[in-house]
Order: sequence, then C-alpha cells, then structure tokens
Amino acid sequence: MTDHQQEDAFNELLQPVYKGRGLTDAINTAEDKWHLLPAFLKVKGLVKQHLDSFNYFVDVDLKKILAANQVVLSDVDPEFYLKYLDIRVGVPQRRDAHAFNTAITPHECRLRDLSYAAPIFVDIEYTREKKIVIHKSLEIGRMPIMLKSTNCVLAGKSELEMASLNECPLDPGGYFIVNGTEKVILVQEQLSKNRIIVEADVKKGIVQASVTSSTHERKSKTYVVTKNGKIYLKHNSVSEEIPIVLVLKAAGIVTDYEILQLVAGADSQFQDLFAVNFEECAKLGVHTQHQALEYLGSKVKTVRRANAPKLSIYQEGLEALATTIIAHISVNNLDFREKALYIAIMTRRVIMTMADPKMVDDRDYVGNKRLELAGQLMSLLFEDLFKKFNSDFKANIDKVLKKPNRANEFDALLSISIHSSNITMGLNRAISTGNWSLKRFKMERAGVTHVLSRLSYISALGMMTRISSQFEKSRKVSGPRALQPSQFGMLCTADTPEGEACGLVKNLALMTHITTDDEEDPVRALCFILGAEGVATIGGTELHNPNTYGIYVNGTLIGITRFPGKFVNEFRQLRRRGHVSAFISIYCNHHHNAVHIATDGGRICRPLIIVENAKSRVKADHLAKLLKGDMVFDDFLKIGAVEYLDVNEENDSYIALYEPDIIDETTHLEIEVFTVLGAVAGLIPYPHHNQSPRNTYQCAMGKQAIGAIAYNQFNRIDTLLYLMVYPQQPMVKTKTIELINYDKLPAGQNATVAVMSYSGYDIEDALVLNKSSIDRGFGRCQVLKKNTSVFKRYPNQASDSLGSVRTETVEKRGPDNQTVQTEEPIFQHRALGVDGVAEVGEKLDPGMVYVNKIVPVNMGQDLLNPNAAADSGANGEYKEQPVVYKSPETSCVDQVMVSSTESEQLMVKVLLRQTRRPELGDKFSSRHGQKGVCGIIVNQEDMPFNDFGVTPDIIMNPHGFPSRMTVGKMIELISGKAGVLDGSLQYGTCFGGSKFEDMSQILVDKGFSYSGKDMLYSGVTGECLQAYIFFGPIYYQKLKHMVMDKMHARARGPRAVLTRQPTEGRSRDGGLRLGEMERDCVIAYGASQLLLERLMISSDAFEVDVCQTCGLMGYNGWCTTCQTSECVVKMTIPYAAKLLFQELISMNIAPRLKLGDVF
Amino acid sequence: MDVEVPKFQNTPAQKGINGPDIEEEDDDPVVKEFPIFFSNKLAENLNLFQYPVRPSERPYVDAYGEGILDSRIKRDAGILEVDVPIDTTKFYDKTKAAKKWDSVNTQTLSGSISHPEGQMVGVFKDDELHLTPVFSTVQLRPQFKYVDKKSIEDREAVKLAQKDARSKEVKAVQMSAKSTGEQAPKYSGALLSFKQADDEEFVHLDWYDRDSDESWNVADRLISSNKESLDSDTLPLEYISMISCPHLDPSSEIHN
Repeated sequence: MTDHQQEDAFNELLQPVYKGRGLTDAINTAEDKWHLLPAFLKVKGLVKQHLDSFNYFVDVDLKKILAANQVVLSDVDPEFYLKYLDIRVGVPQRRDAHAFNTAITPHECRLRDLSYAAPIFVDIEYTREKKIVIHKSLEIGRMPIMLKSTNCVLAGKSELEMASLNECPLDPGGYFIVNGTEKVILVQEQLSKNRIIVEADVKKGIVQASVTSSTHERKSKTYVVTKNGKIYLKHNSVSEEIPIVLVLKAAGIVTDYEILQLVAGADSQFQDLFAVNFEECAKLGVHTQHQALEYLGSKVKTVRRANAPKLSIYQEGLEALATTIIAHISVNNLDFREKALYIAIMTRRVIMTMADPKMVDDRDYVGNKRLELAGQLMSLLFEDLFKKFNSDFKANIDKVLKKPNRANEFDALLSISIHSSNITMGLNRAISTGNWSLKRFKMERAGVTHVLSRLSYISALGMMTRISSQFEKSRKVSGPRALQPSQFGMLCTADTPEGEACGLVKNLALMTHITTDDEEDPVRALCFILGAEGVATIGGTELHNPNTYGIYVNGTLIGITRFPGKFVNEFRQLRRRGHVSAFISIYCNHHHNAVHIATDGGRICRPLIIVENAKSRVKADHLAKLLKGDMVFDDFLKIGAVEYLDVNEENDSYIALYEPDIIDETTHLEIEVFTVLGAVAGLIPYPHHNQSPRNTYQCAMGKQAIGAIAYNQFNRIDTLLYLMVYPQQPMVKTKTIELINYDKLPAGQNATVAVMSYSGYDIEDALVLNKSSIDRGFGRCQVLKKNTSVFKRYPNQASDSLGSVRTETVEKRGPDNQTVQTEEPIFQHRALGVDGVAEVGEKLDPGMVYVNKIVPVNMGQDLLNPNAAADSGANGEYKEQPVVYKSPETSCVDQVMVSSTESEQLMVKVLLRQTRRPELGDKFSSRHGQKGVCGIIVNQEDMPFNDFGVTPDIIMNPHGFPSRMTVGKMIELISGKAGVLDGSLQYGTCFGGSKFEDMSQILVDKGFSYSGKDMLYSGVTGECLQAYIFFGPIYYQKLKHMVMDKMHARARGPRAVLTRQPTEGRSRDGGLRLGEMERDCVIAYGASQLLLERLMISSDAFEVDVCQTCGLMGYNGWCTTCQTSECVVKMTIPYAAKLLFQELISMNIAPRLKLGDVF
Repeated sequence: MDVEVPKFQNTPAQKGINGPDIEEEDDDPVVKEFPIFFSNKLAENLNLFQYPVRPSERPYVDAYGEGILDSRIKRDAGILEVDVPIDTTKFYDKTKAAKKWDSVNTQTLSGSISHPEGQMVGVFKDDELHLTPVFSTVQLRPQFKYVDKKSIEDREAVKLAQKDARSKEVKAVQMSAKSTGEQAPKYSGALLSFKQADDEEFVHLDWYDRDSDESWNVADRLISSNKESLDSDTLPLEYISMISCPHLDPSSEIHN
C-alpha cells in the first residue's frame, strides 16, 4: 500500500485517537470488535462487488473467452488459420484525432459527452501466404471501463490525486460513463445455475426436479417430473417426456437391478415408489442402451445448421444425451457415468419428495440465489460480440480467399481491423440502452442498466447496492416478495420500495461480499486427498448407504465419504489457514446426506468472527494491532480469526450475536449487529425503536433528499442537479453514517421542532415553518439545469454557428435631463455576450436567448454545382435558431462550457441555476418515514418560544405520532437535544447508540426536563402554553418534490395535431383531463350542458357540414356524394368524432348521420 | 505416497455441526501397529474390475463354473469387454432363446476405463500391509448385444422386404458427383468419440482365472521386496501448497 493512501479519509477511522478514544484506552473486545467493520469497508468499499466482478472479467474471464474462441479457420483455404494468443485491456484513452495527450479522466468524459473506454488489445498468430506471422497488440475494440476498477485511472489514487483529477474522493465508483452519462449495471438476482431444485404442486400431485445447465455455449433446463405417479425426463429439445428408466438405460445403466440401486438404494419405500417406472420402459420394448438411444434420438427436435452432417437417430440420441440434456456435465470418451449418476440423483430427489412432501426446496431461499454482476453481464455480452466479430472476419476472409488468383498478397490483418467498431458499438449500445441481447442464448433482456441517480450522495450509493429480481412485477405471488429469514445480514431487511416492486428490488447489507468464480479442479483434487471416494468405483448401494455422505462440488456429485464431519472439518481448517480460497463454502445437508462445496460466483457472503472452544478467535491484542494499523482486515482472515460464510454455510453454523451469548455449540460471532441493515437504512437513528414499515418508507425518501452530492458538485454539468445551500451533518449520527461518509456529504438540516398544534394549517402531516428560519437559509436549495447545443457540420462545408447580438435604439434620459439615443441589445439578447452565448452570472427572464445559434439556410449538397453550394454554405445565409429560456421563474447562468465532441463538432453546454427557498407545499421529511408538506409559513414573532427565547424552525402536529409509532424519532429528539446542550454529537446506531437514560441525565444536568418537554410561551399572546411541549432538534430532509416544479394551470393553450384536443401534461402546457369516471358523475347528476361544455366546446368542437340525404359529411355547404347543396346543414361535433367517421370511411364502412329536430 | 498428511485437531466447537461418526481419540485407543510397504512392481498394470450387478458372493471364477470365457479391449477408446457364461439351467427360457436369439449362452459385460487417482490395493501378509497403486478401474455391465443384433436384423429384413416390393417399379436413377473432401462429415464431441470407438478394432486379451497359477504368480508381485523406509522429498508445507487452492484476487496488486 502506498503511503499517500494513508491520508485517505477512511483511515481516520483507524487512527490512534478516534471519536475520543485513544490507543492507550483499554481494549474491550465486546465493544471494539466493531472496528473490524471500517477495516472491512476500507478493503472492500461499498461497491466492491461491482469492482471485483469487473476486475475478474477483465483479468480472468476475457482470457477464458479468448481460449474458448481461440482459432478462426477458413472454409475455403485449409491452410489458413488465425489464432489468438493473448488479450489485454489498456488504460482509458482519448480518441480525438489530433490529441497530443491520450490520457483521459472520467470527469472529462462526463463533461464532453464521451465514453470512458479503454482499447482491447489481442496478440494474434496467423498465416500470410504460407508464412506464419505474429502480430502483437492489435486493437479489436474499446471496452467501457468501470470507474475505480483496476484499469481505471482512479484506481488506488489518494484523496489529493482524486481532487486533482476533478473527481470526488468520496465517490464510490463502480459505474460506467457512456456518452457522458453515468450508467450503472444493476445487480441481477437469479436462481442458481447447475443446481437441482425440487418443487411440488400439492394440488396437482406433481413433483419436479429441475436444473438449469449453464455453460459458455448454451443454457438449457432439464426437468425430472412425475406424471400419474410415474417419472419422466423433460427437456426443451426433446419433443415428449421420456420415461426415466429409458433415459438411464440410454446413459449406460442397462439393468433394472442397477437402476433401482442407483435411484432408490436399499430403502424399500423408495423402491416401491420407483418400481412402477420399469413397466413403462418394458412396454416400449427398450432393453439395451442402443435401443434407448435410438428411442431418444427419434424424439429429439432436430435443428440442423446448414452443411452439418445428417445424423442417424442413434447418433441424434447420443448427441442429445451427451451435449444438450444436463449440458453442464460433459461426457468424455462415451463415459456416461457422471451424467447417469446426476439423473439418478435428480430422480431420487423426486422420489424423496414423493415419499415426504417436506423435502421440497425453497426457491426463495437466498442460498439458492446467485447475483449476476456487471462483470458477468459484460462477459456474456463480450463473448457474443467476439463470436460475431470472428464470424464476420471469417466471412470476410472467405470472400477474399475464394478468388482463385489474387493480385497481391492477402493479409488477414486488414480484414480484422474493419470490424473493430462492432465490439465498441455493441458494448456502448448495450450499456447506454440497457438492452442485453445475446444471440447464442436467444436472450433479450431490457432495463439492465440505469442512469446513476445523482439526486443525492445516498441515492447514488443506494443504486450501487441495489439488487433487482428477474420476477415479473405484475405477477401476484407473495413468496418472492416476502422477507426471507436467510436474508439476515446479507440483504437489508428494511430497504425495499413500496408498490409493485416491493420485495423484488432489494439492497445489500453493509458488510457483504459477492463471490467471483474460483477454480473447481483443485478443489476436486483436494476432496480426494481428504478422503473422498470417487464416483467411478462406487455403486448405488454405497452411495445411498445411510452412513455415507455424497460430496457435491457446485452441485455435481464427485464422490462419497463415510466421515462427513471430519471431512468438512478438515476442509474448513485448510480454508481458515488460507490454503483454500476464503470464498469457497462447505456445508453438510443432513436431509440429503450430502456435503456441498460451492466455488461458483455470485454467492452472497459475509465475514463472521470464528468461535472455538466457546472463545472468540479475535482477541484484544488483535484489535489493538488493528487500531494501531499493524493489521488490516485480510490479516484477520489469514490468522483464521474471521471467515466468510455464504448463506448455505451460515445456515449450518451457530452464530452468537454478542460475546456473552456464546455457548459450547457456538461456531461464530457477529462482528457488528447493525450490519443487518444496508447503507441507506443505516441513516436512520434508533431504527430498532420504529415500526418496521416506517424504516422502509425512510429508505425510499432518503434517496429523494436534497443535499450535497459530491465534492466536485460545482464542477459537474448534469441534466438536473439539486443542491442544498447549507447542508448539516445530523446531530444524532449512526456508525453507518460515518462509515459511508454521509456526515461529509449530508442531505438535510437539524431543525428545532416543537411537537404541537398550531394554526390549523398543520393537519394531515403539514408542517408549520418559521419564516425567519427560512430567511436564515433553512431548506434553501439550488436547482441546476443543463442545456447542450451541438453545432453541426453539413456536407457542403457549411456549419451551425453563433450569431451576434441584435441591438435597438433606445431613448434615455441622460444626467442633464436630455434624451440620449443609445444602442442597446434587444430584450431577448440582453444576457448574451459578444460571442453569442449568455455570460456567466446573467439573469435570464422568460423569453430571453442564452445560446444564439444560427443555422445555414442551405445545407444540402448541390450535386450539379458543388462549388457554388460550398460558397453559399460557407458564406451564405443563416437563419436564427436560438435557445430560448422558457420557464416562468428566472434563472441565472451558472456555467458555460465550450468544448468539442469526439467528431470535432463544437459543443456548448450552459448550466442554469435557480435558488429556491421553501414555500407552501414543499415537501420535507424526518428520518423516520414521516413526510409532510409545508402548510404555512409563520413569522418568527408569532411562533412559540421557550425560556431562552428559542423558537422552533418547524412545528409538527402531534397526531403524527400515535398511529405511526415512530418512537425512534422521539429518542432522536431527546438525544439531539442532549447533544446540543452538551456540545456533542450523539449516536443512534441500530441496536445500540446513546442510551436514553444517559441523554435524560444530560438534560436534567443542564436544567431541562428529562422527557425533552419544555414550557413554551405563545408568540401571539405571550401567555404560557397550557401543556409542556416536546421540543428539540430533529434532522429534517428537504425532498425533491417542490411546488414550483408541479404548479400548473391552463385556460387556453396548445392542442394536439391529430385530435385537436388540448395537449396532456405540464411540460406541454396541457389541460386537466375530465376522465370517464368524472364524466359518469356529470351524467349521473344530469348536468348535460356542463357535459357538453367540458367534453366538446372547451375541447375539440368542430363545425361540419352534414348532408341530410346521405348522412355523410360534405364541405362548404356542398355534399360531394349527392352532388348537391340542398339538404346540407351545419352542426358542431367533436373533432375526434369527425376523425372517427373519416377513419371508418377509409375502411369502407359508411357511418351515416341521421338528423332530427330537437324540439 | 509417503507424504505426511497434515493433522487437524477436532475442535469441540465444531462438534455441534458434525455427523455422528467423529471418533474421539480417547475411546478409540490404538490396539496394534503394522508396518506399511509400498510396492510398484505392478504399478502400471494393476487394474480394478468391478461387476456392479453381480453379488460378491458369486464371483466370475471357474470354481463356480462361471469363469470368464473371453476378454478384449479397445485401448484408445478405453472400452473393455469380457464374456461370461449364462446359467441356462435356471431362469432361462430355452424356447424363446432358441427362437429369437439363436440360443444365446454367453453374456458380454462391457465398460469404459477410467483412471482414478489415489486408490491402492493392499495385501495383508505376515502382519505387514503392502500397497500397490491402482492404474485403472472399469465397471463391467451386461450389454445384451444379442438383443441389439436381433433388432437390427429384424429392421433390415423389413427394409429388404420393402425394397423388394418397390424394386419392381421402374425408377430413374440420378447420378451426382461428390468431391472426396466433403464426404467425410466432421464430427465433434460424443459423436467423434463414438466414431473413433466404432472404428477401432478389439484386441484380444488372454484371461487367467482367479485360481490359476499364473494369477497367483502375478499376485506375489503385490508384495514389496524393498523394506527400507521411504523418505518424502516433499516437505509438509510444500505438500500443503501443492494441494491448496487459494483465491486469486485480480486487484490484489493495488492493495498490496
């Protein structure tokens, strides 16, 4: 580790004196073990899962993909080959044509709308006219780089260096910048791959075991299902269900005796349940492997590619069984043993469930889930693009090589570089649109990426820890949405949205790690060394012996052991000594007589302290070293004091929450209990005193709070940015707040709150605000909006440009009372500078121009006379196409940026700023899910005050408490009040924090009531109020919903072109719709004239000429159908009705109007 | 394989999660000790044949009148076959066998060879244990080739009959020339191995019964003549690092 990194803010937590505790203080393991948490976050960070996954992709997976697609051969020339030797990703580079410095920073990409991407280099070996040529570092495309990953320029930078790159040191990274927008690939939750899941439908009496096989080439799902008590194998590529006995025969287990042994073992109940299946196979007359394979082959749905050899049904069956059914188990040398065993085990699991319905698996159990991260998704995408790249390249060289006599020597290098934009574009497009389409799995997934929300620091952080589920939001199932007990410590229990995505979108807890793939082969070898007996020599009797346990590596049986406890123990000991990857999990499943070892990626795991002999392995001297900086988190792993447990292994452990709870059976100890919550829920003080939905509401609102975004917030030019003018760190903090640096980038202010009724404008959670507080800056925020204009270049050399300022002559009275005529800019151009762009600091009123763009009138290319066109373009006429400020409120020009895009076009970005003070209707919220709007703003002199003359900033109605039961908010007030009086910051950490008793003591010591209630005097009458008022500071957040952005009214205005009805929506100055339900009310009431006015006259009334003879519409008093004007009358109908008639006519339906007299 | 196996202590903390089979040192005292010897005279030639569908009380030996008649191997494809007699006295439908399968009286057992690691065969003689590593194992299962043969014959007969019926019609013959290179289809994976196995010829193996002198002579070689103690070249720590599988953190270079 470099020295300058020590300066990082994080290290503060590890410094000798921290939060008033020095090195010399006695170390209390029970209290101080929480220091492991900052140590963990220092190594891992909050977005480590994204970075780990992306780094794994770039460093390991890319090479694996290359190895799997290493050689490109030509169909035409058998001599030709191209072989990829190595692949690397460089550092992000600038792509400007004449750049003298190619280094680029992420911030430049944000400002200039570029992609933060690095070149992908390959080393290739290929033949050029019978010679073998090696070419190194050939660029095949550009890879978007995740910020703060190994390849990013920000990797390992200190705070100072980050600042010098215009980057916020607290920014977590973990996202991409594509075309200037920050994009996050959300974590996707999926059912685990290559594992058997048994489900039962009790009503239909169906039991099914399914496995989703996933390999690099294909994804397929195999089922073993029951149907009328008999068992079948089902697969997409097989047209009908195949009797299970037949499948096992096809896999080489030919005798019924051995099948029964493998499936049922010696258990007579299982044997009875299974016996019926033999009949099915015998009826089909299948006795041998050959017959079974032929039968299977005859049922295979054949999809043959062109020029692939035609296969016999036996070959079809062989191919299907070897490669498509349970595809993740490969068959070498026709040895179907492993596959047969796998099918037998699936069948056994089905039979076990038939015998005992409790043996079903829980799909929603977190141990059965895998999280797919940015790296894995990028890897899928890249492999697809790389395959396409290779096939394009192959098609290209085939075309050239086909020619019998080529003029000059053919160099494949030239054809390969043509396609490099495909990879770049493919990656860019997928990330910027979020559409992941993989040709090889025929998979289309939309909404994979999202724009990183920069509403507040917390909203960005919350996005990085978010997990989205693949379940459909519309389906009404409660299972996947419910809180799973196995979520404990892995996924936040409070942070989930309300409404349709409730329970489907989750968030990671504070101290989690998501695994990346570990190598499987050395683990297999280790198992055999530890005494596993391989599957090659065992039969059903040994396998299903009640005393033997199967050893499964990533769901596949590799052997058995008679001593599972010893085996698991020894494996764990090796892991604790660092000889096995810390992220490989092992656990016993006693229901299935199985030892499961998992090395695959995407498992959620978390660190826990190991307990041995009822003693914690983390000792006081370890913690002392940690505080001194002599030990880091990884050292605790190395000495076997801490280990990572995934959900399955955690379920096999006995975890004590606190040190005194340790008993003889205890295996682990929690590092810190408040890590059950995630980063966003960690902001809530005393959440353990709140009703749980309130914490959930706060998690949603914490992301909408306006505050500081990043240290570089004033250098950013975002589409929309909300900033608080005077943000404060909360009086009542939590440890999480410090860990995630919320105290450095806060979003809210400590308001003095009086819980009382005032004025009647405070019903329904409305708040009374103190006018002087607002004057002093309470709740003041800035809104920054961006406008980008790009100056295009046209084929005829002409290009967009900036126009000059137009002036007018104004008569003014001079100092000597004489009228002077001066040239002044017209009103619209008053803010513009000489360059045609508004100057920084200028005020913009509605109608003013801030970028005076001009566009050439003639921009097409004149083919007949190119020179003339060039003349007229370059020096020709322009028309103004200015950017006009439209909003009714004034704004100021905050920043103007002039730059060029990657294609060297001029680009001007103007940032407009509005400063807003709170007004009636603006939304505020405390940190306890208690939101309210401002109901009235009261002068300070009218507000109640206490003995010291303190007036509240906010008056909150006490009716907000009884039904919401947010006791945490009350304790926050008391702790906050104690902190104010004491001059200290108090803690409200979950399951801990400053004790109520201590806080009350401080209040009493300072001469206040222990309960936080004060005697107040009415500001209006000066009389003492009849009750004591609960009075003190509570942290309040201003939410982004402000009246100014919502206020809307319309009398007359624009209409839609097609229907001539008023437009919809505030942004289009639209009308308010009188919908069908409102219409029903008016009909029911009988207000027919109102109905007519609302639905036609005020909307789309239209006068038509109707012919009474034919009933069709004419025009100008003339009926074109009857060729007469005799019976044509005028009437008013809705334009939409007229449109309908015409559309019907266009479809050969004649709607005829029959007119009659009203009276 | 004289390498020191790392010792682990069974911590009481782990007891709770273990199965029923952990042996405690105290109630399982050492009763007697034997020397162990390592023999590699047959190292490349010791193969383990398993008959999964045959009870161990009834081995395929001449003494029971069911000795193995014939054996053959496809070395490259790793396929081994042995012929065993069928007991025609019990559970044997003579009429059906005669009618359908030409009175079949031998059965073919076949299996594919695998090479597991870390398995040994021990001989216990004169209070000494002699170990020889197993080169390969094969599980031999009945194959019912006569059934396949019959069904293929039947099908061909049907085809022939159809052909006869059809051959009376006059048919235009169309000739097309194919280049030789395209003719051989390119197989991969299982189809390739099947084709290779199909193309390879069986090599006959001489079979000696369990009780024959030849067998016993060879079996003597399971006993090691070298009684010196073997020293391990591998240090315990080296061994541990050989079997370990640590996590490779791609970004570790930055942190360290």
